[in-house]
Amino acid sequence: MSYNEKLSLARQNYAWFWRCFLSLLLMGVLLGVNVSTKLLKPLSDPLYEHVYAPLASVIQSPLRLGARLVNNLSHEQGQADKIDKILKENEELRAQVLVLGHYRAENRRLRLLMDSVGSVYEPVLIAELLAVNNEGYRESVVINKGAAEGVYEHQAVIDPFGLVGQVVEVFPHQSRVMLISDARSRVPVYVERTQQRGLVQGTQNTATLTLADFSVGEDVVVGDRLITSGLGGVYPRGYPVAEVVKVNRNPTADTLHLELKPFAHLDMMLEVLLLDQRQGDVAVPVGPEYLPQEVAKTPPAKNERTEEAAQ
Amino acid sequence: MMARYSSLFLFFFILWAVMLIIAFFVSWSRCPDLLVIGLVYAYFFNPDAPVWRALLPVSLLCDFAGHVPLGMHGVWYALAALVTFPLWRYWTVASTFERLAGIIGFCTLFQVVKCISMYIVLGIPAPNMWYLTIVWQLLALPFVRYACLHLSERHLRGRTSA
Repeated sequence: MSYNEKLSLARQNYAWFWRCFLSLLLMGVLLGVNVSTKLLKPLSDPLYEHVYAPLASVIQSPLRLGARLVNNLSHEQGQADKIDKILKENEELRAQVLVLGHYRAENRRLRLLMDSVGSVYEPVLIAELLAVNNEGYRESVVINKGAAEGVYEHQAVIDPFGLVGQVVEVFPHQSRVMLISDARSRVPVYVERTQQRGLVQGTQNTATLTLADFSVGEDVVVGDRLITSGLGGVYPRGYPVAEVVKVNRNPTADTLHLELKPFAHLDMMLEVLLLDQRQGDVAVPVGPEYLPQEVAKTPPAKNERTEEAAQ
Repeated sequence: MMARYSSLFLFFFILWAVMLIIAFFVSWSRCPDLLVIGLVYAYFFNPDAPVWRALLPVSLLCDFAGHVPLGMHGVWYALAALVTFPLWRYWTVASTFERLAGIIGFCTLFQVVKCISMYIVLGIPAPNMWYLTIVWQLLALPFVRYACLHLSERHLRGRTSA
């Protein structure tokens, strides 16, 4: 049968139409089920894990390797300085760790006194970034830890500098994290200086944040730090989120428009920490016998605020 | 039949792999959709080819890569096919300029439908500079066409029409 004959036969039978229509119907049903329910998750998770993820990894690995090489070459000059800086920071951190137990115990006592016991310590899980998707509106990263490692949905994610986001999709060995700069993200925060509460949200621009629900008369200045308030239950209290870099006071508008810079290195991070809040409070031992010896030997620091109040 | 299916599947798979490589540098929603061009050309070069059986599995990979629910790309491609497949007979007699105008119109319409359906179904607005995707798609056109022509001549055993 010649080509034209086959074609005319196909056209006469409307074969193309029925094939297209059935495909559309099949895919429409699949899409509808996926959008409205999680019935197909047991099917899609293994597909993602055993088919898509290995294929994507193989296809993109030469690019990743090349990007890493280029990155290493371009930063080779600054490596020695960076190591020195890290060593100094490490010494400072070690010194701080010595008194951390003391502060933790003190914090626990104060919280108990205030009858508002919150989680003061969360176990963490370190994960590496596998892929990044920064479209401006949607900003997410894929990490190499999943349900098998104990990752769960809405788990808070941080890096050493601040809040990164929350887990929105969990696969057996990978997870997708929505960054705080995603336009759909909302983070309950308070201003460290004034304790004023607010909601930080992402914007359509990459790695930028804003806060739009403060009234014009609110006391906010450039340099103010915003900390997670713990409201909503997703993000634990006390993690730095962003710093105010610009305050737009429009007298004709009712609300302030704040431009914020995230503390977390959203563009440069390679590893993140997942906070596990499911275990609730971890009992922190209280009492001088549990203090590190170095701290126990040193006289207690004077409380400046108490002294000022006394004067 | 099996060989034709394998060839077509490989063709679509390679197009997906190329899209994934581009997605390493720009986000998936700003990638040119090579698969839809491949689909239309594969059908126009050989209307008897089993395009759906080869394309639908690859469209699921696209869903994973684009972070959208499974079936989204399949719906887009089926809609694109419903619009373009009946135009085959006009395609064979159209001039080069008409073909080019048709392709530009098709690419634009496809991206517009894609962005609108993303907003309706998932609530995700179009990314900044979304219209550049149309330009990238047009730039990629000669390469996809060449690959499709090669595939059609070597593996699909069909006579070329474009």
